[in-house]
Amino acid sequence: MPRVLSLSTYPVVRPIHGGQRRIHAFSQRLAAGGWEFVNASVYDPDHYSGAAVGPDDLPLRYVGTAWRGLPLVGDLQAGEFAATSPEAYAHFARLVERLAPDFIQLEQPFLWPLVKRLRAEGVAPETPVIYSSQNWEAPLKYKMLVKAGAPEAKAREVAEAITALERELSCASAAIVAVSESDAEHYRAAAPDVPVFVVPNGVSRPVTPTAEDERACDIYEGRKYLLFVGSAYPPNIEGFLHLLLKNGLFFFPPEKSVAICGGVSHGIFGNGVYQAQIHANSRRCQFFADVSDGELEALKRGSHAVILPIQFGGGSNLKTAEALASGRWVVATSIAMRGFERFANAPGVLVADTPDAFRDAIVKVLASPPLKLTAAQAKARESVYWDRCFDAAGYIEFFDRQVVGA
Amino acid sequence: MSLTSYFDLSTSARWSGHAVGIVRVERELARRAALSADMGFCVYDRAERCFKQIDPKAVAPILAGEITVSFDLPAEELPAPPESWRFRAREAVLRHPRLYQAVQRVRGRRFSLSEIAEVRRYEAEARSAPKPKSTIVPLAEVVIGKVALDADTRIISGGLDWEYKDLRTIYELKKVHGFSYAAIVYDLIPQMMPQFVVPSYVNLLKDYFGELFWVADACMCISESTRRDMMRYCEQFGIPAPRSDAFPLGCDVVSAKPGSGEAEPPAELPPELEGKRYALFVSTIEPRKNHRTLYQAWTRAMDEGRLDPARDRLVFVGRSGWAVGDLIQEMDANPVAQETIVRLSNISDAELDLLYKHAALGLFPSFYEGYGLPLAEMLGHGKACLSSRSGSLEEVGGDLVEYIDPLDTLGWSDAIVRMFNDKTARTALERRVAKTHKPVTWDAAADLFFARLKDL
Repeated sequence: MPRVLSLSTYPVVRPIHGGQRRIHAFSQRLAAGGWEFVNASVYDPDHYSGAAVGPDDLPLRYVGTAWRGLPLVGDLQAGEFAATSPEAYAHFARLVERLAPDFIQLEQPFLWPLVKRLRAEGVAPETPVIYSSQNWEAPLKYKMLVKAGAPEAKAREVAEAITALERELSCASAAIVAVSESDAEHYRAAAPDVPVFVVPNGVSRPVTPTAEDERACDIYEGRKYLLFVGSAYPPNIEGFLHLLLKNGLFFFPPEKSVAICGGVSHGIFGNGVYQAQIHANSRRCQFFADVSDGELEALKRGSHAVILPIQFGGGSNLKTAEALASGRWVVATSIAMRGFERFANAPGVLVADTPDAFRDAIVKVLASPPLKLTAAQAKARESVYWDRCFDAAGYIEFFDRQVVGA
Repeated sequence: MSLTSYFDLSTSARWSGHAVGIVRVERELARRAALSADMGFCVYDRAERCFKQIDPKAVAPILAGEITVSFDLPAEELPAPPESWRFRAREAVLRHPRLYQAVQRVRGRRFSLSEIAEVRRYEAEARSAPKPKSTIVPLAEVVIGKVALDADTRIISGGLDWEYKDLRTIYELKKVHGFSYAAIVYDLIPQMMPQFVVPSYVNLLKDYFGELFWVADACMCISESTRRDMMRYCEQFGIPAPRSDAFPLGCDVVSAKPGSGEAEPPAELPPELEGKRYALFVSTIEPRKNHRTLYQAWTRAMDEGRLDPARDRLVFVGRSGWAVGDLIQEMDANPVAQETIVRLSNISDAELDLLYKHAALGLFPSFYEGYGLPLAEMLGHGKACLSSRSGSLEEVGGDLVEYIDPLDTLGWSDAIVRMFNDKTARTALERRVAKTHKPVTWDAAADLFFARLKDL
């Protein structure tokens, strides 16, 4: 059975956030095509432990690094650690020897220093590398560092290091998988001879909520409400604060009108912008920080619209796919529509990038009846399911061709 | 079925000082409402989350400021707390700014001398504020039970509701009882221009206005301009706009206050204005009112020798508000301003009336107004006025006022000089005001208010 070794900076035993779900989808699709898919990671032990971690995953122990003291550079440090720590390198070398993969797929560029050494030292000299990018990382990291208060010069230094990493990896790859057409253009320019596939982020087919799950919607008493789902990833929090909260949620009546689901809940509730109008905000928002898949699906089915107030950040935009697949009204920024640009003018989708425009879009949607899609429109939205994404990209066929060709 | 209306006195009931601004509006309207047999009066009790009906016998004393209702204190008057040694020591040190500065520095706090001067001025003003003349009575002694709310009940509210109401609870009460709620809207400055609101009030006021239009069924705005602002806001926020109309405020400064008990001493012009020719601007000194433009326009005209420092004066009437410390310090330090700009505060209605009567010119350079009562009052006194066009001011001034952009300092300077020195032009404008301006009395304002509200 042909085999793919995937390397990432987080474990995927329990796929929760967007990046994990994307790797999980690759795994599912390749398995369905007769491939064995194994993921190994260097993970941050502050974020993952216990049952969330598998036997091939290794906790990051910080090594001497130019990035010491900076926030948000754990992924860059993971690459340095995996390539330079004798213990870590030996772990991955053993793994490669045991699996003898036909491909090594790098999820994001950060573990490229490890793969480079594995190749240089003859552990995997000929194994083709697939660069699976979730976003063009350098400018994003720069913005996040500056926003987190890092010195501007340091942020630029980090961005340049990532750019160098991405360029080198792009040119050394057998293929690149991009998440959007705009990212794909970037990689085609960086590595003109390397084939680039666009596999937009997709979603799994939804679970069917139980009657118990549906009780989550009771608090809305049949009224129209909007759904926002997000992890604790800073752009999710910042976007909601800036695009909705900053000018107040007074375009909703003083009744429960918004469902905020997932890790983003804590970041929003604890923020000073929310707290400054806590009585008005809490009258309108209901937080579902730890929501099950069934409850989330019930909330989605009960909602009038799904909002995606994301202003920066790459991320997987899986929430966008889920929003589209829900068949509900969607109010999103153009950043949130990255990878789903083909839906920007689709019926039921409103794109807005400023607080006023976002509010206007919500007001318009709230004043509209529940969205009814035609069969063709519904089918178009279904193209965001993972199975459809892979089929359209020709990704599996590429693997198969390579193996047959070999 | 006709409506049973209750005029809400939640603000007047708590007010023990001189009635100005919103308190004045509430009291002037309520006095006229009291003449109507089918109007009840109420207060909102935040603790019990309900409206309570005021005993008819207590209405007149509340409106006259003779009693202040205590919503949360025990009935008996509390003795004044003894002044601590710490308080007395601070007072003594504060009298010597450099010593105060040194003491604060030891405590790790840095104050400039101008900041200390502002603290001293603020505290002096606070101490000189008129002492309450009213008797404090507990809420239980002035109410006769809860208002029976139902679909035929209307609450009319126009006080400092962001302080004394809880609109989200009233929204819930409305859902249960189905009564209607009418509010007076003074302006939407906190939503439109929060930079002009006292910082500590921005969130409170945004919260109030954010909820108000979900709660109110009818809104009486104090100008068409404010009404337009409200309609625009509701449209932007997708809020079903309440039924609305506008009414003007009364501008008779010394109004008849039957039974008010507020004996006004005979008024005299302040000595520094005796025999002077002066331009008058009546407003709290705060950024929105734009005193700085007038200060700069005035001192420029003086510096250029176009006004007479022996005779001409610029008069600011109003207390010092927020974020004007630098301006006050500049005026205090500027020799031209020291000599020719007069600041007055804590003056009686009769004194204000006299100041209006003797003014050569009225000024109103504000950046925004929901109505602009001082402009109406100046016109009511037949004065030539210079004003900005902002907000409702053009609505109040019509074609009887010369308008100047609030940022056009040189324009203000030229216009003030022209009006002072060209008596023919000034008199012509005054004649036009006297001939065509119809001042609105509080009686007329109240008639319009209740008649238009009835139709909503």
